[in-house]
Amino acid sequence: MINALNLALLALFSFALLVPGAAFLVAPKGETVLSSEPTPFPSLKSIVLPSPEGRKSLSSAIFDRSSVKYNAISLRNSLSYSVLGAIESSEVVSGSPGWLFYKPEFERWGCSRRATLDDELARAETILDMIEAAKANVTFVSAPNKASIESSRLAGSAARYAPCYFDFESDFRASLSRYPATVVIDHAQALEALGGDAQRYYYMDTHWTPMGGYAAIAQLRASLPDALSGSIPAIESQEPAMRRTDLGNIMLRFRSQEPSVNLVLEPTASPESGAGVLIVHDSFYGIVAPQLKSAFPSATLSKLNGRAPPDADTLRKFDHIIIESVERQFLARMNLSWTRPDSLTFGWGSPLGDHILDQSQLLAEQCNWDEAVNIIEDKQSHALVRGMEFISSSAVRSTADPRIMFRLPPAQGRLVCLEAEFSHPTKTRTQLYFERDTPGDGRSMFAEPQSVFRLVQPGRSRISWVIPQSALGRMARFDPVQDGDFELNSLRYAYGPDF
Amino acid sequence: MVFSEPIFLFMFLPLSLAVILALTGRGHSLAILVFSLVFYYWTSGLLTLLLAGSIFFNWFVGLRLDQCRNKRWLQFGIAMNVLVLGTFKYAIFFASNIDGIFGSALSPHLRWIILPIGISFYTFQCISYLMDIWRRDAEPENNLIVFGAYLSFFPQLIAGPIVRFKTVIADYHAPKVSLENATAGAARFSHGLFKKVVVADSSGIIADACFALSAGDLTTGAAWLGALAYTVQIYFDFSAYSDMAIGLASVCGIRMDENFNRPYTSSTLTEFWRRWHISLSTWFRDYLYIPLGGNRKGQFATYRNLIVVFFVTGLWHGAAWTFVLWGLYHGAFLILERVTLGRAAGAIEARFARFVYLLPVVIFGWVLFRAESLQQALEFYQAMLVLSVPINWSLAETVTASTSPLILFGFYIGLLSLFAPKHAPLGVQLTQVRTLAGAMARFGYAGIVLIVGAVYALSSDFSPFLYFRF
Repeated sequence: MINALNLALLALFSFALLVPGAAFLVAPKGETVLSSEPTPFPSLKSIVLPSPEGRKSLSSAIFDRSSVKYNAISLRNSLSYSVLGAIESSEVVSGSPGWLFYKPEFERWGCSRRATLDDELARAETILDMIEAAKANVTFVSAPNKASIESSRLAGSAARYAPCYFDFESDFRASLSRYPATVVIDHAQALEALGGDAQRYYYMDTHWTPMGGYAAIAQLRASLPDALSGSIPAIESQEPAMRRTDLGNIMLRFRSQEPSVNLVLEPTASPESGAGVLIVHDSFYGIVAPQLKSAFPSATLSKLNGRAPPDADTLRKFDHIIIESVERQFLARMNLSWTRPDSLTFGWGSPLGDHILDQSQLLAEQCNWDEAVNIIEDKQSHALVRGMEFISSSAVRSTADPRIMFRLPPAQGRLVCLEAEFSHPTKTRTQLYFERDTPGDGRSMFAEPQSVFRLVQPGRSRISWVIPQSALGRMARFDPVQDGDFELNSLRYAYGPDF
Repeated sequence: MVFSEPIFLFMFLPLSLAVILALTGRGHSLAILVFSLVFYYWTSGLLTLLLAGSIFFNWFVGLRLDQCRNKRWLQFGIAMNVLVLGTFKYAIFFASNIDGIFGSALSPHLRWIILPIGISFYTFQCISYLMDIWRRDAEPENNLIVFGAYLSFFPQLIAGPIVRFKTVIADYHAPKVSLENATAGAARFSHGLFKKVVVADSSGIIADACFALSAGDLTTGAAWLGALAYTVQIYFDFSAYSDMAIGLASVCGIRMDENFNRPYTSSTLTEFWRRWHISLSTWFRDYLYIPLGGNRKGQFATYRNLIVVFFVTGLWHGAAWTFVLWGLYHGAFLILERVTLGRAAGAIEARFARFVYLLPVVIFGWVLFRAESLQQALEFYQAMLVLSVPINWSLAETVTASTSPLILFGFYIGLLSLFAPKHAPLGVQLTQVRTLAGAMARFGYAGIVLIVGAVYALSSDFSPFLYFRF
């Protein structure tokens, strides 16, 4: 009997050691672990050469392709979830029983990133201020994080992340609420209105359910009646169905019973509804794209994920541009620099940033420039010239970091426009800073996040802006060029029509 | 290649065991030698030549030493081994210190030196081999292949135990391959795999997160958690490697002595060192402490010898002052035990001594061992003892993020070892039983830990053993 047990143990030992390798040799094309390409096989030469690099990658190359590894990860996650009642990986963390959350949601808004987040929020506010002031045809839409709406489910492992997350989330939400719906729509309002009993988000997916998405579309339509007319399709039925979810997929093979909404998808709105409207969206509007298309048949939908955002020519073709982004990416997308074709950014220097500034310039032309005030000469403006010297009435020699600081005029219930006209021999960046909200904290009066910039081509440039209300009566700083000599023809402000 | 890496577990190991077990006589040793050199070459490349050179040199010197009985061969052999170890392991350290004192620039010229994995282990085996021949405790090995198989045996090549030639050479000539040995070895290997991938790696994640904190973020809670997690990690990591090595050797028909015997259940540090890294502590006892005079030449000489031995023990673990201080710290406590308790120090069986004395001393020692610098060790001590910071049990975000349920599960298993009764039939004992009930228990236990270990190994990222760097 002891021998039989010993043999059985040896058989198990042999089986455990042989199966993973054998599975690769016999059936290498199983379900693999990675969604991206697995590690490439090293060449025979790199395996044999003294340097261990080639041999190091061999293990990953073999086992990334092995279905046994896939099953091992799946088994480990399943055991953790069913035995320990909780799970946590680099991307997923469990909350109340049955609920999974996307971990980067918490990490992006973590305590350690607070200073960065404050800067990101300030930059976003500057963009939104400029949209509001320019009455630009651009509306940003925030699709709330699952954690923001389903906060009561943040128990267990996920609860550890809650304090820092909600600390920033309340500031973010308060910031969005300052803007009219033509500038920002926060779908948190629509989802919260559904009440906690409704299943607004999937259990094991980062996205809202069709029910949540439906409420969001209704809010979108109500917020932009000029751009989006017509009614939205009704919900016909809602039945639970087994489905694979994104977080479940990350944990491998987690399926769950989730609500599946059956909508009446026939266009109930007029075929023209949404004409001239571009809706740039991520996977949140993507998951309700059929409903969205049904509600606004003439709207153009452009999905962001993994693709380049629309270019300047595309943006100019539309009467109204709606940019939808999940809350966790909302600030990031306004703060990333435009460095590569697939950059998901809408900040200054991007086509959308230039589009907003174009709209600002367009509106600024309506200001009364016949009664414009020359800022350099105006005593009320308290202009201070730094980093440059005038060598004639308009020619300027830069010494270092040329800039003009001045006080913007008070609001007086009317638009205030600013205009600069200057010439420069090289391509440069012209930048306008607004005074920071918290002066006296030891930091500079002006900071990058509270600035507007655009790239300008060599030659003569005339740029004008409608100044946001929040900046009026306060200090501003204008950097005509980054460096080099230039000619400053004018820097002036003028009042426009009433707000 | 490490034991918990999939390519070792599921490719190299089945193939090598199949070939080694299929061959008998010299073929058995030849297969061990070939697979061991491949195993070493996999990670170390051309440094395998150093290992091969060491095999040949020590085999040759061993023969000459036995033939000539001239002490100069012994001195030459030991000097060459120490020279190689000193060059590859300590040259940069000594040069950096000289640079620091005299403002010279020696160390940049030595950046080409790469520390060969396992050099401390196989060099110590070589030295003990030569000394045993000189002392006539062992006969030299005539067959180069058998000697090569002994010195390079892959299960213990890179992280020990330090196996004495005289204790195992008979098994290389006549391997005791049997069903019982193979089963016990497989169970022991599975036990080690579980300890490594479930307990040590989990605790390591927590320890790494705590030790990565800046001084400003280091709270009392994080410092204690980091120290505890490392205490668990280093024991489970190192003893797991020993378990796997002993297990694989047993499968191959070679019996190795134990390297750990529940060190955290000790009551005194004297007892701790009889249970921790036994192959190293007995090596130092036999080849350094006793030759220095041991405890036969009076109290002062005994204390001096202890300090010398633990200075070298610290240095053996790594070329850094933190390791040296760690060694001296242990040496100082051993002297303290001798001063206060005399020879009874090793025999004390006080039930709570480990909680009020041994574990705090060991845990504080591990902080020094783990810290990247003396400055970091000091910061940890200040936080742990609430010396310069107010008491604060909260944990930084990065530490909290590292404490997932699965990781905590592994860490808690390890923590239990600190509280486990000294003679509880757990772990290794479960792999060594001979009764029917014991065989059933072993089958159940080994089956579970093997499957869990294999699943973890397959689904985890690469994680080298800590003792590779020593």
